[in-house]
Amino acid sequence: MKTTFGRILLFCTVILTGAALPAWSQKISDKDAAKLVAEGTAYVNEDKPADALNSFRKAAKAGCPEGAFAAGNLLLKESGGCSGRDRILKLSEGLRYLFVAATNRNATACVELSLAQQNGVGVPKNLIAAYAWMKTAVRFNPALKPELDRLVLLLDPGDIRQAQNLADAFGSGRWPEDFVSPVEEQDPRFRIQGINLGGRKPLVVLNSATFAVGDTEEVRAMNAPKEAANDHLSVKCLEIGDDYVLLSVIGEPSLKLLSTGLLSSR
Amino acid sequence: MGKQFEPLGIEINPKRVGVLLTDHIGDTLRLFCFYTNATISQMDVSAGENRDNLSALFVTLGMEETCSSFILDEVVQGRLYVKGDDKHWLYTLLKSSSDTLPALNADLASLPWRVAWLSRDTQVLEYGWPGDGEHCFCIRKEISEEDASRLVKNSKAFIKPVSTPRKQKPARSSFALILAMLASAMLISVAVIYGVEQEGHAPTQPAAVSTANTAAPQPSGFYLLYNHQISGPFPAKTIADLNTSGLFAQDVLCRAEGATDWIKPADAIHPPVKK
Repeated sequence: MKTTFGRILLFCTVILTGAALPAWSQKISDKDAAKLVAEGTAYVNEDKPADALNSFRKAAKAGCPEGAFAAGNLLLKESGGCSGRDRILKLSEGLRYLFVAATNRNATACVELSLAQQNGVGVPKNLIAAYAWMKTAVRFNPALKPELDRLVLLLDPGDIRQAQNLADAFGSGRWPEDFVSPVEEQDPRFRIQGINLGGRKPLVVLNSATFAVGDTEEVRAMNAPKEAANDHLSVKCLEIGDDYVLLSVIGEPSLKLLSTGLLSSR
Repeated sequence: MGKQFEPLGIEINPKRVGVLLTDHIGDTLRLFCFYTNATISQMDVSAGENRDNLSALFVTLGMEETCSSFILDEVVQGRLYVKGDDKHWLYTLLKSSSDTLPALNADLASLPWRVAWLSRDTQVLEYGWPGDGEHCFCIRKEISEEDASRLVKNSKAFIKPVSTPRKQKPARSSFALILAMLASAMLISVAVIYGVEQEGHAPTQPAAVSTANTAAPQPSGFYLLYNHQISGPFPAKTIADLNTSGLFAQDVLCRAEGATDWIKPADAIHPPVKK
C-alpha cells in the first residue's frame, strides 16, 4: 500500500514537473533577452547571420523590442541579397518584426517601415502611410525631421492632411491591423497553369484566368465540388516570379505563395 | 441584383470577324475575337464540347482546321517588327472604331500597353480606354530571329525606322508648370518683401505681450508649403497679414518652426497676432 502510494506520488511529481518545465524554460527575463541581443550582435560581427537571427528571434519572442528590431533589420538586409520566394518570406517576417519594434517606440524601425512603404518593398507602395510612419519616427527622434520635410514634398495637400491624421492615429495607439500579412506556402484551391515572363509585363494563368501584377479577378477554386455555392474566390496578383506567384485572396488574412518549377517560360 | 441568366450558347457571325485567336489551356478553350467594327469579345469554353464548333468556324473563315488564329488584312493598320532583350516581337496594330489610333511609329512598342488577353504565344494588348482620345488593340507575338528577317523582307517593310518628333500642340502641362512656378515665386517674393517692410516699419516687439497672448506663445516663424516646395521661415505677422489680405492660394499649407503638422495659414496664426 505504502509502495503504491509512493509510486503514485512519484508519477504525479514527474507529470507535474514535465508540464511545468517547458513553461519555465521558455520564460526569459529582460536581462536574458538583452544578453540574446548582444549575442546576436556578436554573431553579426563574426559574419554568422543564421546564428544571429536565431538569437534575435529568441529575444523578440521573449517580448524584447530591441530583439525584434535587430531580427527585422537583419531579415530585411538579407532579403536584399536573395530573390524569388526567399525574398518574399524574409521580407514578410522582417517587416513583421520591424512593426513590433516600431509600435514599441523604435524610431529607426519606423523609418524602415516608411521606406518600405515609399518604395513598395514587401508592402504596397503608399506615400500617405510612409509619411505617417516617418512622422511617428520624428516623434520618437526629432533629429529625423529633415527626412519628414523631404517626404512632404512628394505629397499633395489633401494627402498631407490624410497622412497627418493617420500619424495621429498611430500616436494614439491605433496601429494598422494588417500592416504585413503572413505568407502561406501553397494552397490546394489554386493551380498555376502557366507563367509568361517574356513580355513587357509578366503574366500568369491561374485557375484558367490570366493575371498581370495588380490584377484582381474572380476564379473558381480547383477541385471544388460542382454543387458548392461558394467556390468563387476574388484573387489579387501581387507578384510574379520565375517559378512562383504571390496572391492575396480577398477576405483572407494571409497571402498565398504558390510555386511551380515546371511551367516557367521566358 | 439583376436576374441571373445561364448562358447556353453564343454565335459569332464569321462575316464580322476581323481577328480570331484561340488557345487550349487544359480543358479550357480560350477565345478572343476582334470584329470588323473594332469591338471585341473574349470567352473561355469547354474544349471537349467546342472543338468541332471551332473547326467549323475556321472552315467558314477559309482557314485550315488546324489553325489557331485568323487575322483579316482589312482590320490591320500596320505591323512593327522590334527587337528587345535579345527577343524579336511582332506588333500587329488593329484598326480602331474611329480615328483613335496612336501613330504607327517606331516607338509603338514603348507605349503603355495593357494586356487584354493572353495565350501561350500571343498577347492582345490594349492602349487607352474605350472613349479615350486614343484607344486601340494590338496583337503581340514573339517570333524567331529568322522569322523576323524573313517577314521584314517579304512584307517589304521599311527597314530600321526612326521616329521623328511630332510637332506638339502648345504643351499645356509645361505652361501650367511655368504658371505655377511664377505664382509660387510671386507668393514667396510678396511674403519676403512684405516681411522686410513690416520689420522696418513696425515697432520692436513689445517686451511684455498682452496677458491674453502669453498663454499661447507665438512661434517665431512659419514655413510655407506650396506647389511641392517649402519656403521660409517667415515672421508670424507676415503670415497673418498675407492671410488677412487673402494673398494665399487655396492649397498653401503652413507649419510653425519646430512643429511637424502642416495646416492652413488661417489655423496656424491662431490666436491672431495683435498689431
